Amino acid sequence: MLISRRQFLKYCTVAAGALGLSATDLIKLDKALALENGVKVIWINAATCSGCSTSLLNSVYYATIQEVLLSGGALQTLSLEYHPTVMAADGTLATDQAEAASSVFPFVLVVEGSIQVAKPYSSNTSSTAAAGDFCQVGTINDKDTAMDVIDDLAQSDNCLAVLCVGTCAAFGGIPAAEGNITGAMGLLDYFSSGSYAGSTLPTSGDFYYSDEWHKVREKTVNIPGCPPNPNWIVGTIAYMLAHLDLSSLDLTLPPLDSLRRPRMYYGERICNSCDRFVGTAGVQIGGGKFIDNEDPDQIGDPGLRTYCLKYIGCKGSRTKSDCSVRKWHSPGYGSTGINWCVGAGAPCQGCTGNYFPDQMSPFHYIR
Amino acid sequence: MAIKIDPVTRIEGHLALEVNTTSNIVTDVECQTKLFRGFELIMRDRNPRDAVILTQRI
Repeated sequence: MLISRRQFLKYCTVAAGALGLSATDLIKLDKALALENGVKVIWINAATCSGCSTSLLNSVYYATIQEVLLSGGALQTLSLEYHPTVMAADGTLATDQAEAASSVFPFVLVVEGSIQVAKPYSSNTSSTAAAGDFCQVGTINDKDTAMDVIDDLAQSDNCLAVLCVGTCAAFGGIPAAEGNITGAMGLLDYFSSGSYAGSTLPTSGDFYYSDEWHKVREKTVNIPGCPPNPNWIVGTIAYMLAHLDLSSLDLTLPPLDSLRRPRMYYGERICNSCDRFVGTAGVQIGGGKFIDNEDPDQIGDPGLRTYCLKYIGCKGSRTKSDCSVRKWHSPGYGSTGINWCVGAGAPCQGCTGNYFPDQMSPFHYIR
Repeated sequence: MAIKIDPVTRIEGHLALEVNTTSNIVTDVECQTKLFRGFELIMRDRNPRDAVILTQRI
């Protein structure tokens, strides 16, 4: 992803309040961006729908596709060395570039999609199927399953930080929903599951806090959402670049909650600033009424846009994100978005939580 | 001659191609989809209206 340095700084200046960046941070950010050829990013797609990539591309609509795909030059902020969905190179040409980037300190690993650890069932006794074969991403550093590639890159000493973009990479998401046979799980779950390479722990399904888990966890930031808002991704990267110690390349992560989500985006539940919130005692924000789940005419009625969606299955009260303030599809620098799920009359699905989708389902009933 | 392209980029999802050629004529092509998530299995025994939410993420 190549956003020019100038565009990036402009974006950060306008959005500085939202990102929690002070003026001195912006000076540091300027220096961080002067890093030779930008910060290298390796983006690995595991079990994913590529929706998170699409969401991120929405945020840089002001950069042409040429800028996105080119790399090199002094004006560069981020150098996206490997991204299977947008890069121009194919096959070994592409994977060679990932190998080259991963052999030099520092690079940032971005994981999209959950890690599938199960071994495909085969009735053929001569089958060569191995654990993780449900997702194969091409040969990078002699590994070819998504599980092994991510395992290798995340534990590499050259890896400065790991960003788990999307609920799948962070917590497992839809591929890990009940009924799946692929053993899908989030990245940190994977490192505590005993499935990773070199593990001496049993793979019984119990979870352990291993040395590798600690090592990977301290450089991991989860950015859940299905998909995450592009501003959450860009903002987290901006924060980390701004607080990067350039001499030692020591990493400072944004303030995180217990699920390793940045507090600045996942700090409050959605209802707190929702237009439809019926309010607590004495405080009324929305229309003060609920959509009646037994009246088909009320569901989807544009005239009732201040009515709370609780009884048709809104999970906003259990979901932490700033969707209701930031909204989606921002039309320009620093503007809030045009609309969001609940604003459009669709109940919140709770996609930023670690129990999406099983604990949020059925989605159209109160639960 | 066998040509292997893995991964095929600029597509949504995971794909690999194996192309066999004899004197510059393609004789055989094998297309491999490299990802299985099992949405059909996840959809089983759920409320029908959940399908709207889940399958839009394929």
